Amino acid sequence: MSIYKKLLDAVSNGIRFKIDLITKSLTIGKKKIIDKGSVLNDEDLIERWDLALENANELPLDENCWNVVEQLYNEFKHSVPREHSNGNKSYFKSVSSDELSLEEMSFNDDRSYAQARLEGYILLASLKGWLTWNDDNHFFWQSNKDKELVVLKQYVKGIN
Amino acid sequence: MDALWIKAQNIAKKKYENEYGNESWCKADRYEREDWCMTEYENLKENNNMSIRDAKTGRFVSSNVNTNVNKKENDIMNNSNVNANATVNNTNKKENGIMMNKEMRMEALKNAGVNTENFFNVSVNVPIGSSVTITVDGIPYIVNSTNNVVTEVKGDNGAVVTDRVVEEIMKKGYVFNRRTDGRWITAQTFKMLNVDSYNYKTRRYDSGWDAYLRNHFSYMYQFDMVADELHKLARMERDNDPEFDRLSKFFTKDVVIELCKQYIRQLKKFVKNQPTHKCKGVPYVKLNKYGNVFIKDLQSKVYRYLDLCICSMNTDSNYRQLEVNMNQFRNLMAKLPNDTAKCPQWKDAFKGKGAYVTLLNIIKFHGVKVTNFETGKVLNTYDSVAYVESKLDEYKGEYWRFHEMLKKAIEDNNFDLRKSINSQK
Repeated sequence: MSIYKKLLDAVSNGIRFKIDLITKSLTIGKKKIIDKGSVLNDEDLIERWDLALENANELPLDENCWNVVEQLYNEFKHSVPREHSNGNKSYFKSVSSDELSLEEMSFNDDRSYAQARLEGYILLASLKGWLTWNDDNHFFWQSNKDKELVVLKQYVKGIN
Repeated sequence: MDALWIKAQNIAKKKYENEYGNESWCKADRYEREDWCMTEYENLKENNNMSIRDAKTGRFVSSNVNTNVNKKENDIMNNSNVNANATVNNTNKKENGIMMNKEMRMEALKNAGVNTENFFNVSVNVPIGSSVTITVDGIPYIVNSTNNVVTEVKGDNGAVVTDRVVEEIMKKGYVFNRRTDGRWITAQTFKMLNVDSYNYKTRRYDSGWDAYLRNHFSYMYQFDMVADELHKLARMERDNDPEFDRLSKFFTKDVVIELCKQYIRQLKKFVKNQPTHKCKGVPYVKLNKYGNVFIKDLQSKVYRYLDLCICSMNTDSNYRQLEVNMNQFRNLMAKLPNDTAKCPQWKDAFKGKGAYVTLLNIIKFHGVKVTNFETGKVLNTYDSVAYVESKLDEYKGEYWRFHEMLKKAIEDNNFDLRKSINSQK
């Protein structure tokens, strides 16, 4: 079982998590799993079939990861926040509960789960080498589909 | 202090005492006194303009020259004012003339036997080149001031656009009200009914509304939720909201007090099961927020203040006071574990309100119909709403019955929320 799958299972069962994209570390519950880019137990980071996206077979994940990030961001943006909790602070913008439609509100994923999916993917895919920074002159990347999705260079490369 | 101001104060005092009797000046409000003094001060200033002090000598100089100059200026100003007034008067006269003509016409039509009940006059001064929209029976019209042409507003399809509220009433019979037809509550109830929840103790997935409440909502959620609810109800009470009477039946004062009492019982149970430590032979307990408390001090340091809050809740007469006391109680609370058993009265109110609001929502906006349990008749939309609202008094104390009603309505109508949302698109 890969770390990504473990993370998603834990979050769907209500366990807290902490992802730091800049220092590249991950904690699930009280257990530290990745510390400053190095995996503490020798485990697989992420597998192709972990995501269970609708068009997972069509997407060449190794080459075009930014499409996956866009899809995951779209899910995260319209996810349902909890009513009485501050939740984890996210690196990305999302819609407040007032702006969601009834359908989105009653059938979309929990916000913490969607956040773990997106941020976990960026962390683990970048560590595995799937996500690569194309242009070193730019310090951010903005999506063409959704202008609110902005990924900074340090989220992918980290601080050396 | 200005000498004029002291003079003004003396005059104001005399005048005030003449009006309201002796020693009334001392008893008067500070702001009232200042008002009186200000008027006197301004009067004195106006009178003093006639005699102005010379800056060098300090003597009073006669102000004839100044007054002459002022007079001239005033004359010029007056003339210009007169001219301006004349133009304004002319335009007013014109408008009045038009209005008079219209009224005359109306009277003439009336005398001729024409029904003029639907006619009315409105005159608005609109600058040239601008346009005004007027809605008649929900259909907006644009009036252009340059051409005097009336046109209907059309959307992208080319169809005539109608007012949103009127359209909603024509289609569904009801206008969506955020406060009463809560989207959030509807979404939450359907999620709780349909989604399976994970149980840590048994390590299995449970299904159903009660299981979701047990597994996904912590014990402290009750207090956050009640505080939020009391805040909303207090605002509704302040604004004389018409829905207040109906919505305030669930989370009443009795429910809130019962919730707090149950908390104290659970806290005592929790403290009993905690491991005890000893300091110089005296046993103490570690409590969240309070730190280390000796067992003999628990009554005087913890329980007593919580009891006092409940005592003050008993005397509250409105929701604002209840909210304040509840917040005070929350500040004194030590956190209990998430899986502590919840208050049954709170559960009943929570279940009842959720079901009541979702029932009304799906009846009004998704075409669900309720059967009358007494007669066995299927009611139409308006009667269903009235039937559900009429049950508020009957189900007092056992609001879980709304939940059963909701389940029955979903089963009878074969209701699917996703399908009905998709059909409305």
